[in-house]
Amino acid sequence: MSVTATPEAPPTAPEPAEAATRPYTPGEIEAIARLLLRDEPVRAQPGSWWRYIPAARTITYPPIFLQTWPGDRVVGALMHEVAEVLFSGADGLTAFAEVVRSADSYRVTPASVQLLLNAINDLRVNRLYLGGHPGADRYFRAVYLAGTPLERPDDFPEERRPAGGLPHHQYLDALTARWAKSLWPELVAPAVPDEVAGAVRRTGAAVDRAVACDSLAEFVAVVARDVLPVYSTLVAASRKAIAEADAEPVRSEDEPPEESEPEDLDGEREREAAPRATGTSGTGSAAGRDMRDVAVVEGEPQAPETGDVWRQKPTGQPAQPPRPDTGEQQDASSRRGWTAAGIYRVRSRAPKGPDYEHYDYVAAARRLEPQIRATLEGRPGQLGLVEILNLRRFGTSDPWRRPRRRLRGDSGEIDSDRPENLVVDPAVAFLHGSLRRRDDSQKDFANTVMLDISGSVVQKGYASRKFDMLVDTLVVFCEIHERLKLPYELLDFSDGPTVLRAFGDSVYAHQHVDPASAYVIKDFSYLVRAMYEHPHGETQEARALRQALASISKQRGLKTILMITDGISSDRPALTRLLWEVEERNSALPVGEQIRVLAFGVGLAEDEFRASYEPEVEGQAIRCSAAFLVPKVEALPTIICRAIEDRIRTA
Amino acid sequence: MDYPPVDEEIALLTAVAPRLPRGTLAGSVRLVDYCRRLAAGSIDPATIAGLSHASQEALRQASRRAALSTAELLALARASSDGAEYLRLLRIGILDGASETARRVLEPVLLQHEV
Repeated sequence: MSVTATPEAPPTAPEPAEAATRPYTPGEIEAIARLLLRDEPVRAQPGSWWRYIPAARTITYPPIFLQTWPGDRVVGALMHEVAEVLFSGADGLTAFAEVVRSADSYRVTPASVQLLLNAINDLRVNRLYLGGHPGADRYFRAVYLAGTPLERPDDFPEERRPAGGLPHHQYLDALTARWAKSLWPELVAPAVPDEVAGAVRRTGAAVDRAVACDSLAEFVAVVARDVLPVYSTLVAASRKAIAEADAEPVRSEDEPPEESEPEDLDGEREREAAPRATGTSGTGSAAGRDMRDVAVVEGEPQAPETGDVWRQKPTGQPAQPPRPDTGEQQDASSRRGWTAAGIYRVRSRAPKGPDYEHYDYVAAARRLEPQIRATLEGRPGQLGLVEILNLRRFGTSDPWRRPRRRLRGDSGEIDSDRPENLVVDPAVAFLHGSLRRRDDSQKDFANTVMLDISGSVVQKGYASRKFDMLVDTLVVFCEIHERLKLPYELLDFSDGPTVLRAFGDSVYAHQHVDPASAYVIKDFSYLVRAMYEHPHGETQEARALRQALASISKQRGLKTILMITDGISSDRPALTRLLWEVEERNSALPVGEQIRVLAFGVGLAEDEFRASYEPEVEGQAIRCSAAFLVPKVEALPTIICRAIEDRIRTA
Repeated sequence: MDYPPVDEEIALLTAVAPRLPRGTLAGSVRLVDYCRRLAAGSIDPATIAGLSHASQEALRQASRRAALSTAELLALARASSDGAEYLRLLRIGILDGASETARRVLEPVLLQHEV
């Protein structure tokens, strides 16, 4: 099937491949999604993976993959989610609910049943979408030929799965590959065990019937009647495989047998081996904890000094009984004595840092809610940012109080940007071709948040208190800007700067600060993950600062650069020179247009930090820069409020 | 400007060019209709509220390019011998002279209708 332009097309019609060479931006993806969805009340927004969330009326896309995936694959994944919206919609959950509830009768968990329904329904919605949009074939092909799993199997904890995958997951992959191969014969289907291949053969016809169903009710009935019984046997096989994998001692492949290294500390080895074997850090995972606990019990058969503590899980529940010890194990443990147990106990109680490869921004924002609220709403004897900024913007702390009707015919509606003025829905104003907003709308304040991710702050794979604090500070700053609806730019830097979020990405429908109950936390997990993935080299903050100055200079209003760093600079003279340049430039600008740098120090090197950001040139202090040391996250609200208030008062 | 309802416009195009598949005509008319409403600001604001500035701008440019008139659609239908040619001409008509942003946004949306 040819879907590209025919050879007769004049040169003005570009070949589709030409447009797909540059990666799509989030803005373009959201615009494409809107045109595909048209009047559907569903919107696309950044998330951790491609997903349709009916309850939130949202499609999420992973911005981090836009840069690395080919354009066709990105569009294909988006079209698949659009197909979910069009052909499953909110009814999908309702239709699936009955079968999911009856999962117990098949001895299958509801999550596994949901996975089966989702996986086959994916093929159904793809078929329906391709039927109405034959040209979408090239985009779907790009997805399925790459073997990209759009449905993430999360019914069993990832860390407990044996190598090679679980049989019922292999079955679903094989069904998907079979469907894709029927459309694109060039696809190479992965080899599967005989048991799985047999199940695919037995249910193939039923799956085809389910995929051919137009109605969801019919689809669910076919799957429940003809596919679920076979699938349940594979789930049982998966459970058995997990049990067998659990029974194996936890040991990494490249590690020699325990007996060959009697001097090695058991606790250290177990702690290192568990994450490698699981593929995750193991934090917060019940399954991961279970594996670690069992391993400890196995390794500590003789520890009379420690008593029953070592036979109990941290929750207080008794651990699984240890397997019979061999003589070799007893010898090894007696050689280790109580030292390993003691070290393990100390280390197991040491707080473990967050897993930045799977960072959960929303959870972090909830954890930091007290600090965020204190920053926004203030504390006794201290104004919050809401009041400080409202006073600066409108001269009153309650500018949105409904005014009296002044003119005949006045609707009484309030313009959120300028309470005394005009009213057109800002969301549609741009569609009229003219932006009907005041000149400095949303630009009273413009902040650039710069994040130091140099090697002195973070090294990938190692816990770092500085980085923990930097990320917490980032969360607080992001939440402040989002809740106060301030335009801001996020930029991380090491050897060079990288823009994580541009000013153009922070446009709000209005400036009215919503009540806390109405605020929904945006998931910026991808920003933190990207920061963690970026190279961590030298601290070349002058280069980054120069870029930040260039972008913030174009903004209107009070311009402030918020630098979060440990202050250990790789080129302090360059930084001082740049700050001096800013100082000189400020002297030629009106007070309201001057740029100021507020640095927040997250390290212990206070002298270094102050020398970098409160330098003196020829005995004269540079006024455009101020340094604030942050000893702990709890101190942030007071520090931020003071810094911003001081910034406003001196402007 | 007021346009005929979507169904009437499809019927009009089908009458003028009966050799073109109705599904192809319907798909193009629905897209053009949505873009007209988008450009005129008459769509449900809830569906576009909260979009970033970049996507608002991309949508604005794309919708202006694709907001063809009924006369333009009729001309394309008349000049086309089959569905594939109609879609090719439609694509040229919309993308010719469009900005890169509009082109990148509209390209997959138009290509998905091709046969």
